[in-house]
Amino acid sequence: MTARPEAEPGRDGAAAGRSDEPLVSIRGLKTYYTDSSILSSQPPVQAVDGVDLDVYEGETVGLVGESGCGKTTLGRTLLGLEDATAGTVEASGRDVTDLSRAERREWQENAGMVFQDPEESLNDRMTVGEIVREPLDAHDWPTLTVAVEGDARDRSVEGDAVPAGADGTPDLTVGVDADGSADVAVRDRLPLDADEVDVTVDADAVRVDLLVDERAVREGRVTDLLERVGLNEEHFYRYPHQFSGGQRQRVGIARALALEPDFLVLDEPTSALDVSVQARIINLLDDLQAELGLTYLFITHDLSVVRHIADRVAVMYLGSIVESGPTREVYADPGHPYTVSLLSAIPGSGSPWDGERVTLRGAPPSPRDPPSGCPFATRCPAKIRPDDWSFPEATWRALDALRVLFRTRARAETPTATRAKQLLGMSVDDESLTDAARDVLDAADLPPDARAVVDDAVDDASHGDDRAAAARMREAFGSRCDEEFPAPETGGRGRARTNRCLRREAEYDGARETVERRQHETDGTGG
Amino acid sequence: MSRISDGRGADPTADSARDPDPVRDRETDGDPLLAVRDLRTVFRTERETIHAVDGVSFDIYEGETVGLVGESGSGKSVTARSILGLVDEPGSIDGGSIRFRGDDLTDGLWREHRGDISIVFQDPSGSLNPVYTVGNQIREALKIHQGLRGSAARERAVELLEAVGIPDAPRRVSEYPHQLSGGMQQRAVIAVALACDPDLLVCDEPTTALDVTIQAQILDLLADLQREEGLAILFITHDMGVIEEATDRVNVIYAGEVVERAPTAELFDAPAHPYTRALLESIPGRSGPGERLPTIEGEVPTPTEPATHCRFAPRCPHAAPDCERVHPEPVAVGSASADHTAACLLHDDEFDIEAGAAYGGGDAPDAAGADDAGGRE
Repeated sequence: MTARPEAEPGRDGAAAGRSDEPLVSIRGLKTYYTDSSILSSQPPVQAVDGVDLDVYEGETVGLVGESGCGKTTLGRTLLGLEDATAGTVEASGRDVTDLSRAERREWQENAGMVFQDPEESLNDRMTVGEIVREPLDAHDWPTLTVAVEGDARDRSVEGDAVPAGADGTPDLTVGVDADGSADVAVRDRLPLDADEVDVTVDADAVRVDLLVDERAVREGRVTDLLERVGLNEEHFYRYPHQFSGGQRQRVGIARALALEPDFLVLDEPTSALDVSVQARIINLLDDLQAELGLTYLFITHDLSVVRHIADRVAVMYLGSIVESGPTREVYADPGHPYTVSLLSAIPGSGSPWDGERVTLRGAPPSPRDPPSGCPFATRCPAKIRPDDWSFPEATWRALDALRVLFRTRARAETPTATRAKQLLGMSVDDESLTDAARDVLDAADLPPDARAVVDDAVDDASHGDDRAAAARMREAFGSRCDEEFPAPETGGRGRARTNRCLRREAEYDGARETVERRQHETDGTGG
Repeated sequence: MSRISDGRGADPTADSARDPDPVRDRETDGDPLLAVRDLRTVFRTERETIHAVDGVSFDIYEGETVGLVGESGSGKSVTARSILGLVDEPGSIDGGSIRFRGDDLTDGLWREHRGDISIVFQDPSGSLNPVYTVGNQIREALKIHQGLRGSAARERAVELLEAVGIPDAPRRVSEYPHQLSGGMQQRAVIAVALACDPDLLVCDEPTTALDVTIQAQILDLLADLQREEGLAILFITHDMGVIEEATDRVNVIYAGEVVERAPTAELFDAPAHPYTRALLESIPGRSGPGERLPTIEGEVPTPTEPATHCRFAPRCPHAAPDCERVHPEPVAVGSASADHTAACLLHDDEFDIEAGAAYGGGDAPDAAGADDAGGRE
């Protein structure tokens, strides 16, 4: 897809602090799921279908969208838990979609995930202590990275330790005095005392031996983690089922933090919790971010939570990010019709929306068969109308509904009897089709040429060719929205707002005013 | 917050302001469609007795939507199942009455009123039988409750699917549940519920499993059905936003007890019970972005003992020694006409409990700004 930005080998640890280089940079990312069974010839599920997004150090990006929009798949792809079909995810100067096993492990130490349902994501046969310790064991933590200072800088590192890389703080810093004795400093947050390692320095090597049991260091780490998430040592030997939902989610967070990641993907971390418990978990996440300098990708369907916690928001629909930008700006002035619809659907006075409720019709199309052009076009309340026709809003809605009906039918599993009829060219299911068509024709007096199109489409469908019917409707009544899906203005680079709606162009009215105007039109005509 | 004395207008004395009957009649003529009084549903196990529903009372009149809101474990779903007569072993209704059109259902009259009350559960896929078509399931209900068969039943099934906004109903009626999306499944469940031609629809978290745009569709649908059919709805949810959007009156339930009852608008303008207030404040979006969310410490207790005290006291920022030994009864608060009660000693003039100081301390700013009148009047 896009050209990879210059790789920056050996990024300078000190300068990495507040650089304008994104921590994670997603370009043209696609993740498709293919059914590999012999019997099925289903097209792949296009769960993530071309996503561009930058995430900067220390910020929280809220990823919102409804179920099935691909937000969880996006999060999992970032962590290497799903294989990307195309595109890149740049982090620490490498593409994390294309890593060797060892590199992937390293990336997964840097990036953790908290799952929605703490009940299902924790193994009920392990104690809480074991659950939190598991990633430490799996990654053989601590690696004991050693930076050697002063004259001894060139000497190699031996024993239980490895030389520190360019990134991050080394676990141990060894200074060698003039007399050849070693001076050892242990970094903060590593539950190890300087006298628990034995450091010997000879002419060309620094040898580090751990004097305590590795497991003891890990248990110390687990105790620290439990404390940090608001649990305590006595919880160590308990099992998840002995905990409440909120406590289990704390365990999940402690586990995700075990390997000291910089980046956490939080997948609906509070959706299964009661609101009073949710508030405490959100506050905890806030605290942890401030203390540990974490970067969050916060995935949720709850727009109120996003408004509270996210610096920036990305709104996802059917595999694509349709709008993104600083949360405050997007909520105050949403640019994409889907964002308008989502915000207006939040019930109650706590809603950030002060306008009218926009109720979307229908459900999102199947990600196996996304519409061409804009993915939201089939439900869009602000869809651009073609210039060739001038119908009242109620007629447009009826025409849209009829077209969606054909599309849905084309995708539906067809009963064998119906399929047999189709093959024989016999008409199928006349009754419901004529009903649907009559609704359209009743909605307004269509001019004869438009009526002819509808009649032909119904005829196609009544002979079982719903796809042709939908195509015919699209041909006649479609617009730019059915052809084009504009790329994000910035290519997804940076923190600026993006809006993948054609209405961003100067010649069109904005999404919100269009939605509101049309709503009044249909209200006026009793539609 | 107006206090109880000025709240009742005519008679300012505390005694007369006390509410003798926990549920007053509304300012309407006629009897309630459903009157729940002092309902007690318990679950007895070898280890303990859980008082899941512990003295709940409320009314539902024809054509209105009454909300029952609370966190998980508060007893709201058990209340719903009790009304439908669906409490299974080891649970049982231990006391109180559930009068539907005057008949006490707890006298074993559920069969007589079968079909008058329908329920819609949270999970639509669990409510539909996967091996029967949607139409089959609607026709089954039509046969049992309305005696419709054959083509009459088939036509009615299509009508019902159309009524709940399922497009292409004549085709969908012969589809199986898995062929419908989640929102469409929930519409189908509502269609099955309507096939009984009920007077009361109990909706137990009907939109919780749905996305927000689909939730909006279902809420619109329920409002339309209510307008067209004059249905009464008992709406059970943990979502305060949905309560505000969908209900006329609301009962807040905590650990098996209704702690506050009010017309919906009034509850949101002037919540009186400390639990209601804390619950409202902890919702993200009601405080400013970036601010710390006010929280309620502790967990909802499982009521294993009869209530001899306020069950919210251990978590309550106002709790006083009296709260540990006196069981608070609902008392009238708010404006006289409002039918607004709170079961809290703060509002009970027999007790002298200061409010303001503790409340809003710590990390809970008193957003409601309502409780400025501490102490005895």
